[in-house]
Amino acid sequence: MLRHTLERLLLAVPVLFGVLLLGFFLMQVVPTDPAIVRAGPTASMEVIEAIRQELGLNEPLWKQFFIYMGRLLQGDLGVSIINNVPVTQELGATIGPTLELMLASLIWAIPLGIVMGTVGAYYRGTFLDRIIMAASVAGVSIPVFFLGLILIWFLGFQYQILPFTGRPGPIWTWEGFKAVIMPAITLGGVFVGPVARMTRSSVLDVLGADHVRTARAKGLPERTVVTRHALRNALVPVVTLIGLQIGFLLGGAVVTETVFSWPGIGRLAVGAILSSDLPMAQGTIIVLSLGFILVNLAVDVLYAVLDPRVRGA
Amino acid sequence: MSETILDIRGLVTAFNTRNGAIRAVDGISLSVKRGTTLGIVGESGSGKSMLSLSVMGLVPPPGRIAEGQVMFRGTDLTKLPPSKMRDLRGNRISMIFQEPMTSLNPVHTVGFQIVEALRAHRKETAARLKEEAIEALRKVRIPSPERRFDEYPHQLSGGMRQRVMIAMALACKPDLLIADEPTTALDVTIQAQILELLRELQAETGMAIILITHDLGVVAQVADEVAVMYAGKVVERAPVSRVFQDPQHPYTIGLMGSMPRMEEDVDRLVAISGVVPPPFRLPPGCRFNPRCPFVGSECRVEQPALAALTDAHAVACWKAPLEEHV
Ligand SMILES: Nc1ncnc2c1ncn2[C@@H]1O[C@H](COP(=O)(O)OP(=O)(O)OP(=O)(O)O)[C@@H](O)[C@H]1O
Ligand code: SF4
Ligand SMILES: [Mg+2]
Repeated sequence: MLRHTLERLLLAVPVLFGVLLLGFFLMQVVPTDPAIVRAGPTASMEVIEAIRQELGLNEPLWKQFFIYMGRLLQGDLGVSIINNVPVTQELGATIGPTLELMLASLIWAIPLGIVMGTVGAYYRGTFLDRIIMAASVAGVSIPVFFLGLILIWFLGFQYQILPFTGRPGPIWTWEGFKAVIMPAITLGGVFVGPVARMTRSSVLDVLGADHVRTARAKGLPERTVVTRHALRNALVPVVTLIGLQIGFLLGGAVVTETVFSWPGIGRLAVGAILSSDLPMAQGTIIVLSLGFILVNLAVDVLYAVLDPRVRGA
Repeated sequence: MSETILDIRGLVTAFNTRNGAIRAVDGISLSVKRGTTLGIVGESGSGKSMLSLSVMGLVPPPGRIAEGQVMFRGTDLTKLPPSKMRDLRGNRISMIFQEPMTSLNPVHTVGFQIVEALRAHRKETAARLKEEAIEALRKVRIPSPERRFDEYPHQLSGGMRQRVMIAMALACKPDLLIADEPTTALDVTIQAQILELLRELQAETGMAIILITHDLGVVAQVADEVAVMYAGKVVERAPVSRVFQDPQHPYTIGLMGSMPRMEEDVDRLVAISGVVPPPFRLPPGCRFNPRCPFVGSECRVEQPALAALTDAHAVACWKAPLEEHV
């Protein structure tokens, strides 16, 4: 178990290096000159040249990379070209709200998807199954922003039940809790369908397995047979899917945060890219990629928790 | 005379399919007494597993018991509500399956799976349940059962897993054990060990056993009585010694292949060619007639009923007793 985890951690290192390398080259291939952006449209050539020197942009590429890595290791991601705020400071301020939003989305979407999928599989071919599957297909096909806009229109404007813009406080305050509801419904809503469908097909597979027949032969009640001997085994592929879909969820977070003016890292990324704030864009990409790597690591570990055969005896 | 544990009467288990209702089990009557073993033999597709699942109340949908009774110690199981049936399953009637590799759940420990079987039928403390589970493992001669208790199925060999299945099935000391080809997937030495184990445990507990197999050798080794099944029907039923001395149904003789009788008649040494016809393509008359070396014109017209030759020996064949014809 521990060995498995360490192995996975070790494997994550080259991926992490790749991400950092990518972040570095991103700066190189974008046609915008950061020195010009930094200096502003009216600056003279001398000023721009001075900034170039300061940013190390005149050094050879490999040297720039070492400078970049050295600064990264010290936790220095540079300063925003737009407002001179350190990138790490902005990232630190936005990472919390994004995690909050993700958590608030997944905490209902995953259980709901799993329950829907399990019920669908158990009552396969019935009317109930068809309704569940239709609902999950609808959930997949609705674009995130569209769902968000509909919610804003009805719950925000029409009935004024819930706030729909910004984040007045952390989630454990009443105001903060109310504010996260609609973004969480929007972001989680697109996640329910894939989880439900994956769970359904996976549980369906396991329900036909020999060990399920054994469980019934023991005289266990159906509820136990389904949860302990079918769903429990079916979770392995479901967890994998959830891991893979996290990337998709990060994309959804960017849209959701923008629609609901949620002060998270996704919105920060969009803003930075639109204003050519390269250090900031780079920082957000690194953090988002890091998140992706961490989630996959967690999935790998969870995989071993769920399936003793993976642990290695 | 010992108590009759199970008495199956005219059992029909049918599947509604596009080809109409097919009968995987077609009017079977059998019984088993306490402390005895009934061997059920027949080729693949003859309905042996469906018969045992019918007794367990575990016929997979869309299959269902369409006719007949399954009397278990005086109660008709086919009339029992699901919750009552569940109380019996794994408790008074247990079953073990052919595939030891897949019959245990890979994600739970062996110990947990046995405890679970016990807990379904007994109200006892966790510590006591664990003790009993370890005892059950010891009973099936699993070395160092305390250690095995915490292991996962993939850490055990096929033979060990089948022992675990037996431990699980017998944990509640059932009156009846149905073993559906328990040794088919195992190699010969392990097979002999498992059969020996079953016999010992039977001597100890007095349970009745229904042993399903396609191997007459296995039957010879452990059964008291034999029922030969073909295409959903019992075609011959007799005490083991009788069947081996004087097989009457051509199919039984075919199954024996190279087991000659004393006053041998070459005609009775036949190996059967072909396969069991699927239930939706049964020939008219005797179901064995396309493969039968003794087939006569009457065989293609009407089905022979299972009729008593002697008190203990019954055969479903127009030509029985065979001596008069060959
Ligand atoms: N779900 C189903 N739908 C329709 N027919 C079925 C179904 N399951 C089983 N059958 C039929 O029941 C018949 C008996 O099958 P069964 O599994 O009892 O045979 P068996 O004697 O146990 O064979 P084996 O030695 O291969 O285990 C088969 O011929 C098959 O056609
Ligand atoms: S009834 Fe006829 S076909 Fe059937 S087994 Fe007897 S001899 Fe063969
Ligand atoms: Mg079978």
